Amino acid sequence: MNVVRKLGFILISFSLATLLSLAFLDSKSNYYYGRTLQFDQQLSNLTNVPTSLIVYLHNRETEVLVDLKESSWTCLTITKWKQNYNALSNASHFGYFNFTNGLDKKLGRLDQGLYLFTFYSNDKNQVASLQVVQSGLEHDVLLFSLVLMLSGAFLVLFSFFMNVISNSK
Amino acid sequence: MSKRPSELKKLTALLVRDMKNLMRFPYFELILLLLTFQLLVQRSESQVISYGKTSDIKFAVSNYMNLLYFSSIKNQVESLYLIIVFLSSVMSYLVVSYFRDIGFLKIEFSLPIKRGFIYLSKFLATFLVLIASLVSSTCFSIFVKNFGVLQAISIDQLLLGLAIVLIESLTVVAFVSSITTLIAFLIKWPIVPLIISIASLYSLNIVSYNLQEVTFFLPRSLEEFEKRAISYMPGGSVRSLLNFYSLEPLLVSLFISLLIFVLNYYYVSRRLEVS
Repeated sequence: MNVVRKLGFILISFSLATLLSLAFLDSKSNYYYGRTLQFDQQLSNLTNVPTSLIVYLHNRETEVLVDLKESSWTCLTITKWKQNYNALSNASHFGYFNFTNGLDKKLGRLDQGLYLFTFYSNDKNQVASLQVVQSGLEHDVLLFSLVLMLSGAFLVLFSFFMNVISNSK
Repeated sequence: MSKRPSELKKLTALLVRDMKNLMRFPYFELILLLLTFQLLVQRSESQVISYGKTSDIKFAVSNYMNLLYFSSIKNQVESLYLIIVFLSSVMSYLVVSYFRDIGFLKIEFSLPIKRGFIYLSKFLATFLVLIASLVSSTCFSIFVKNFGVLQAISIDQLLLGLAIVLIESLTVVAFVSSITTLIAFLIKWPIVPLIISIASLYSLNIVSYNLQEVTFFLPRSLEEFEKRAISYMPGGSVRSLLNFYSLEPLLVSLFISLLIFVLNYYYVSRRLEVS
């Protein structure tokens, strides 16, 4: 029973550490920067060749900002990978934006995972600079730490009541 | 006629008692909280990678996931060095200096147990409690920070990362706890060993970062070890990590730890006088 109680306390301390770090990180934003390759770099005789940026995002409020080198039509699609990271068929389209002078878009809270930002342009000299800003609480980690705390509290109480029952016999 | 307990059983009993002493509520839980918080608070900025052709995507994604996983392992143990120094000094103080202060060490040495076993139990208790707390908090923080990434990397890469954490933890804890236990046995006054342990290991930390060319002093040697270990990253396994080239930066610290351990064992079993 002592081992069960100890395990419970250990789970509670992990959970408290996670909650404290979440509270600390809540005020800090994460910034992700990326720049596409020039669209004519690899296949110069073709137009509308996509170049992509891959980024791993967390479950936080997300804002996407895009700066363009040239003022011309550019399209951005945002795709999220599902469980199998190697399979393109598991990807799901998340957002689709057309713009000519840049983009500033709030995406709201995203699920944790790998995202693909794919740019299409007819202008072969176009270069897109991407900035993704994430801020706020990570709800999935918060939920995980609460589950951990409840499990720990259950183990502590279980061992306590088992001790009471065995002492009363 | 009652059977006398074997020497190994005596050592185990001493070790269990000292470990229970160090792990009692709420000290062990506070150690875990401190280490885990420190690890979770430092988030490395995720990188963005670009690729040009759709056919490269599998390779790009797989490389990116490995990059994320290893960047979350990098500098983890190194960032905890000063906390480990503090915790090891306090633990050695509790199991040696404090016991001497209240007269319990004298009673222990009067028991029919080899003196070397008393030293072993105290060293191993500090070592095992620190290793357990360090490895568990590091693994927990890697899991929390990279839950999605862990699903995407191969089992070989996962084990390679965990082996790097384990080797680093073993080296740091062996080095720090051997020095703090030696100081705790050598200096008879209360509190003084605690201060000297922290001060000496803290100065070593400053020296190792100021001597840029010398890469075999802890904690900077961890950086060099990681650099070499991560070079095995794409397609590497735990077996590829265990060679002289990758372990070389840590060998000096391991040798010093072993030397201090043997010296301290000799001192406690042959020379130490407990008053």
